[in-house]
Amino acid sequence: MIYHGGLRLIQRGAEADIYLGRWCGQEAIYKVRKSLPYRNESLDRAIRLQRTIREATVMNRVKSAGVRSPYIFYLDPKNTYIVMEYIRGRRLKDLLLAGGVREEVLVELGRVLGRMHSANVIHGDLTTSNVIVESNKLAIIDFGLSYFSTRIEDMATDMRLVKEVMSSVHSSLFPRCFELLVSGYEQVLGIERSRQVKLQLSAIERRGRYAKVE
Amino acid sequence: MTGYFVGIESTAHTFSSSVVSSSGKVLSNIKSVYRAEEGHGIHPFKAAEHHRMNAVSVVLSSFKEASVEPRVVEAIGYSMGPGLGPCLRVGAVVARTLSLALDRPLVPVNHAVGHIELGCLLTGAKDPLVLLVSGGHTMLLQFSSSRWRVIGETLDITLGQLLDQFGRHAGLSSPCGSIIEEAASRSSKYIQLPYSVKGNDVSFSGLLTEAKKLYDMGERFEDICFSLQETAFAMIAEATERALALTEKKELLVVGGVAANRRLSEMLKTICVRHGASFLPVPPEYSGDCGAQIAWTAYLHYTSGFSVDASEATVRQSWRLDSVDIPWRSQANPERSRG
Ligand SMILES: Nc1ncnc2c1ncn2[C@@H]1O[C@H](COP(=O)(O)OP(=O)(O)O)[C@@H](O)[C@H]1O
Ligand SMILES: [Mg+2]
Repeated sequence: MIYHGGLRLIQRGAEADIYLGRWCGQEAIYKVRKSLPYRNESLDRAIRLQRTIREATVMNRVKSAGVRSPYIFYLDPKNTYIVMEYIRGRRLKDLLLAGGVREEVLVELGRVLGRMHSANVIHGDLTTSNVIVESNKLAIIDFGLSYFSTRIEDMATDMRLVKEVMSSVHSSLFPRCFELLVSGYEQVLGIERSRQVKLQLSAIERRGRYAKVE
Repeated sequence: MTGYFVGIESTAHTFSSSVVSSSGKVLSNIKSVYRAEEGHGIHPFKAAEHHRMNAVSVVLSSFKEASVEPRVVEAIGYSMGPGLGPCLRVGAVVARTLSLALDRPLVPVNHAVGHIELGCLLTGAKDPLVLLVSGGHTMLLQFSSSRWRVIGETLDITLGQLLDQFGRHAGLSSPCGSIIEEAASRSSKYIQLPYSVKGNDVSFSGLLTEAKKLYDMGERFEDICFSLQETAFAMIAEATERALALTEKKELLVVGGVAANRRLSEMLKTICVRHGASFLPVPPEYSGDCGAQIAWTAYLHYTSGFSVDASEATVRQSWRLDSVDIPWRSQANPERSRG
């Protein structure tokens, strides 16, 4: 990696190491996808490259759909890292666990998800640790698993992940927190389209959990 | 005073009986495993027939090896589900018979909860992230608000089914996991296969289709096994890593039949180091289906005041583990942020 001055490790994410450093005089996040030693080397290289490029592409694209996401300062595909705007705020996960979230925030998260889906963007990993609450706005990060799709099935899969996280990590607030999200989603996507997504979501839930031995 | 509990397991291939003590000692754990014909999956009625033929001797040996008189047991646990109907019914009948003969209550146990609770007992895990990988399940769980809750899972087939269905396609008889592991260890040629991680969830069906196709095209069996394992296990490992980052748990408990796989363990160990969590795999002899998981969980339910009459001792082929209340676990503040 090119030397950009002092970098301080601030997070070990799900798949990347997150450093706080500087870029052109301002604070910036360095998201570095290091090789994972347990993964086969050629598989590992392919995944890291694909996700780094994907993340930068989608992070830019969602902005035109009215979704707040970090600005990208620099992308190094070879060394699979991205330098991006540092968003000051707290993760939605931490706020929910501490019990300090207004209901409006969850409705807004639903709207944001709706805006992404209207722009045919599937986030792919919309956990509550990938949402940063910035004063009153929401910023979405971590687009490594994102992709473009117009399929209801993919939108339902996206929504199912949020539901899964809410029902496990935030079980004491469930199902209320998810209902709030759905209400915001409906505001953006309309009742009919939301209904289709919800129906597909139930179909997906029936598929996996009851897997039987054969 | 020490109490004794017997557990009968019969959800799929394995018929097993075990005696445990209330102090958490597994005194015996006798198994008899049905093997399907080559190239075939488990045949529920043939498996049930196998269980019927072996039930009496397995149960008697479990008492004998434990040196416990049947009449001193406090309660009889059996796996109520989820699993194959015909197999489950054999276990239920055996348990009901014991219950009537000994005049002791019955405790129906969720098989998957059994895997987790026995894992906690044997590894000493207190508040783990759980990876349950077996023929019937591929799930990541944590305990919160009185239940084991799902954080991630397969969206289609389980890891066990992936290995079994590929193995059967190649003419093996299920369970195929150990043969595939052995074949994979003789190759190091990686053939690219579909890799599908969706957040904390995984999907294996595309991988299975592609692996079968490679076999039909005449690729070397060992190379496909190697590539299949590398891909599928890396997917599981990544989903686990994501769940560890999300939950910030400091223990990873791995249970279920596929937990015995050395390559998977190796990958999971690396992840735990990265996230500062202790790696707690269940000992291999208890990773697969066994009576001990049922006996121990029966003890936990029983001491929480739950048992049923022989007339209520039915089976449930589909039974979600996150619908089972777990009264013996408490968390002062389960939603406390550790991060
Ligand atoms: N642009 C950013 N601004 C502020 N914090 C960030 C930013 N990017 C990442 N983080 C922090 O780092 C954590 C992990 O980053 P993330 O992009 O989600 O990586 P991973 O894919 O490994 O989960 C986030 O949960 C967040 O706390
Ligand atoms: Mg993240």
